Amino acid sequence: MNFVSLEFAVLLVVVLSLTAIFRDALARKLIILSASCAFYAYWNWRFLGLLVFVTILDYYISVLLVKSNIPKQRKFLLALSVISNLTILGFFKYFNFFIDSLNFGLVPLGLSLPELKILLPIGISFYTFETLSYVMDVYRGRTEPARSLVDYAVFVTFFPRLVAGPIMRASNFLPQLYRGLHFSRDNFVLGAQFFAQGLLKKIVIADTCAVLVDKVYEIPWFYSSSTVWLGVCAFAVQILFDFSGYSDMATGIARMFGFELAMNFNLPLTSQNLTEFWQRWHISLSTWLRDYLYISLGGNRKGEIRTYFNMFITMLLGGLWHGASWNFVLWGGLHGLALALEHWWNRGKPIREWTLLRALPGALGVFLWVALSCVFFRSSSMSIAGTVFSKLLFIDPVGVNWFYLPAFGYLVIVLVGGFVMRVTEFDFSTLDLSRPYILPLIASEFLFAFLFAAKGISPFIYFQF
Amino acid sequence: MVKPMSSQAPLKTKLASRLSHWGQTILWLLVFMLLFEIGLRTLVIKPPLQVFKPGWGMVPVDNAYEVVGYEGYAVTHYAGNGEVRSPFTDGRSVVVLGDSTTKGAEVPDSQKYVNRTEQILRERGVKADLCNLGSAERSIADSVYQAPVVIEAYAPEVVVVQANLNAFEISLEADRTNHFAFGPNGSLKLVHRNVIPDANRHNIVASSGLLSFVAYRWQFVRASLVTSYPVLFPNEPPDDSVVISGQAKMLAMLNALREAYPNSKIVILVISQVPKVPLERAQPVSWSSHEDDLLVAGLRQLNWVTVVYPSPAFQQRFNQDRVLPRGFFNSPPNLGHLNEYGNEVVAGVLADALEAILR
Repeated sequence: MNFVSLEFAVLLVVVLSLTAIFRDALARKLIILSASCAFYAYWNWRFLGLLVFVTILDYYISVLLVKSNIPKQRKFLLALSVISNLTILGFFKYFNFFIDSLNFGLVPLGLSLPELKILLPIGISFYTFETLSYVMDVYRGRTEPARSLVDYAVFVTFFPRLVAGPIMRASNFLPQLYRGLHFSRDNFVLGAQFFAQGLLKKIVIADTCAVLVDKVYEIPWFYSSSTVWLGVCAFAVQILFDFSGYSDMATGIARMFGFELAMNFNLPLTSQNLTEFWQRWHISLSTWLRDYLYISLGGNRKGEIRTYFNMFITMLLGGLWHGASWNFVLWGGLHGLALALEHWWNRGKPIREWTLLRALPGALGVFLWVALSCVFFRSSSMSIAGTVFSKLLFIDPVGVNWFYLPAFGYLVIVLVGGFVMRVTEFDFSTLDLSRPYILPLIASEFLFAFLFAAKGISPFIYFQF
Repeated sequence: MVKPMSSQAPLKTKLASRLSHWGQTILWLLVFMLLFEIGLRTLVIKPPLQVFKPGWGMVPVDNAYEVVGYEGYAVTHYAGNGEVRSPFTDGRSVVVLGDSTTKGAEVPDSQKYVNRTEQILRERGVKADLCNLGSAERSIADSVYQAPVVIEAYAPEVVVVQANLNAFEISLEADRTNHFAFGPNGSLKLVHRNVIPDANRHNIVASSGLLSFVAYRWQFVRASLVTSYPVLFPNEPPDDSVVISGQAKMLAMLNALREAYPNSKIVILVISQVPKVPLERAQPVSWSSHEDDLLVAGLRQLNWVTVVYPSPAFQQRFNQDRVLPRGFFNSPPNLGHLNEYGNEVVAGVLADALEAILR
C-alpha cells in the first residue's frame, strides 16, 4: 500500500478514527497492529507469515535472554537470532545474486547453477535490521525487553515506517508506546505538515527529476554530455527527496498518533565533508551500521589501518544492504574508500565548525561525489554506467540537448534552500502551530502538490530494498 | 445578577477570539489562493473566454488571448471565429484546419507553423493569407461540419487539413458533437448533436487560472482513479475509441471533405510522432511511423489531394543539428506538441507545397 493512494487514505482515516474512539491501551495497540498487518499484506499476504515468524522468534529469544544468566546460553540465543534473521534476509535478497556471481566464476568450467524464482518481501531489509538491533540491545543490556508480544509486534510492524524506515530502535519506540497514544491538535497539525512536506518532496520534486533521470539512464547515448550531467545531478536530488519524502510522510503519520520517529535526513547536501554527509543522510541506517557493524568490527580501537579497513567494510556492506547487485557493492565500496581516505587526510586535524563560506566548496565536492557515485546506484547495468561516464567525461559529447527546466529549477532550489535552512536553523516544529497562517499554509502545500505533481507517480525508490 | 454577567463576558471574549482567529485563517487562505492565481495566470494557464457561434461551435471571443505553459510557454492571440491571429490579412485565402498542433499550442505566435509558412511564402513573393483555424482535438468531421461558415467567412482557395490517422478515428466516435456514421449500405452520414454548450459555465472556470489548472489536473487524476478503482465509477462510459480497418471508410471521409469544400484545393498535412528511439544504440533511430506511412501512401493515390509529409525533413534537421521536432524545456524530448524546430520544419515543407499550388 502506497502512502499516495486512495486505499491508504481510507486506512489512515479508519485507524485514526478507531484509535480515537477506543480509549483502552490494548485495544488501540491491537487496532494499530491489525492496520499494520493489513498494510503489509496488501502487497503480498504470503510474506506476512515471514514477518510474523521473525517477530515471534525474536520476541521469545529476547525473553529467554533476560531469563538466562549463563553466558554460553545467552551467546547461543544471540547467535540463533542473528543467524535466523540473516539467513532469511540472505535467502530472499541475496540468493540469486550469489548464484549469479558463482555462475560467472564457473563459466570457464562450463558449469551453471540454476537460479530460483524468489520474490523479495517488501521492507525485509528494514525490519530485519530492527529486530536484529533489538535482540543485540537486549543481549548487551542496553534496552529492556518488550513488555508483551503485542508491544513488540507493534514496534516491528508499525505501519508508517514498516517498509522503508526510518529504522527504529526499541529503546526509542517502546517507551512512547507504553506512554500511550496522544491525540492533540498540535500533533495532528504537525503530522499534516510533515506529510504535506513529504508529499511535495516525493510527487513534485523527486518525481519531476525522475522524468529526466529515467530518460537519461534509459538511453544515455542519445543525449548530449550536458544533458547527462544534468540527469546525473538530478538523480542525487531525486533519491534524496524520494527517500526523505517517504521519511517525512512516515514521521507525519506517526506524529498524528503521537509518536515521534527518529530524524532520518538532516540537510545532507549542506555537509562540508563526506563524514558529515553520512551523519546527515539516512541517519537511521548510518547509525545502525556504526553501532552494530563498525563497532562490532573493532571500530577505531584496533589501530589506524584497521579503522580505515573497518570503515571500508562497513560501507561496502551498507552498499550491499541496498541491493543484491555489484552496482550497489561498488557504490558502497567507493563511499567506504572515500570515507577512509578523508579520515586519513584529516587525521589529527581539529574538526572545523560549519560556516556557510567555509562549507560551500566542501558541499559542492560532496554533492558531486554523491551524484557521480550514484551513477552505479542508478544504472541498470555496468554497460549503462560506462556510457553515462563516457558522456560525463565528454568522450562522446554529441547528442540531443534537453535542458529540462523543472529538474534544473528544483536542483537549484534544493541546494540553495538547504543552505538557507541550515543558516537560519529553520525548523517548522518550533513554530507556534496555533497561528492563523499555519492551516492555510499546509492546505497550500497540498494544493501545490496536486497542481504540480509529476504525471505518473513512480514507486518509492527505497521500497525495493 | 452579577455572577452570570461575569461568566458571560469570558465566553463572549472567547467567541470573539475564535471568530477573529478563523477570520484571519480565511484571510490567509485567500492570500495564498491569490498568490497561486497570479503565478498560474502569468506562467501556466489563462484560457480565453469563449462564446458559442452557430456553425462554429465554441470559439474564443474576438481578440482574446491565451497563455499556455504546460510544455513550453506561449501566448496565443485570437482574431474572430477562433482564428489565431497572423501578421498578414491580405492575399489569396488559404484556410488551415487542424488540432492543437496547428493552433501552435506551446509556441508563441511568431513560431507557429501557419504564421511561419505565411512569412516564408511572402519572402518568396507569394502573397497568401493563411487563416489558422486550428483547435484542440479537431476531427475531420468537425472540418466538414464547419465548411459552410468557413467558406462564407474566408472563401478559401486552398484548404490545408492537418490530420494523421487519429483525426480520422476520432471522427467516428459517437459521443462527439460532430461525427460520421456509416449506414448499413456503407453510406457515410455526418451527425451533428445539436447541444449548445453552456458558455457561462465554461467562462467561470476560464476566468481563473487556478480553477482552469485544477480542472486540467483533475482530468489526469480522475483518469488514474478510473483505471485504478473502476468499481468507484460504475457509470463510466466504455472507451469508444475506434480503430479504422480498411481504406474504404477513410476514403469516404476524404470524399466528404472534398464535397464540403468543392471550390478549394485540398492539402492534407500528416505530422507523425517521430522519431522512435531504440533502447539499444546499435539499432538505428526510426523516422517512419507505420500507420502514417500507410495513410500517406493511400492519400498519394488520390489525384485531387496534395500530401505534405514532413517526416523526412524532420530527419534531415535532426541529422544536421541534433534537434527533435517535439519537446520543450518542460516536457520530455519527442513528446507532446511541435516545438520551435518542428514548426519551422513543417512551415518549410508546407510553404513548398503551397507555393507550387498558388503560383
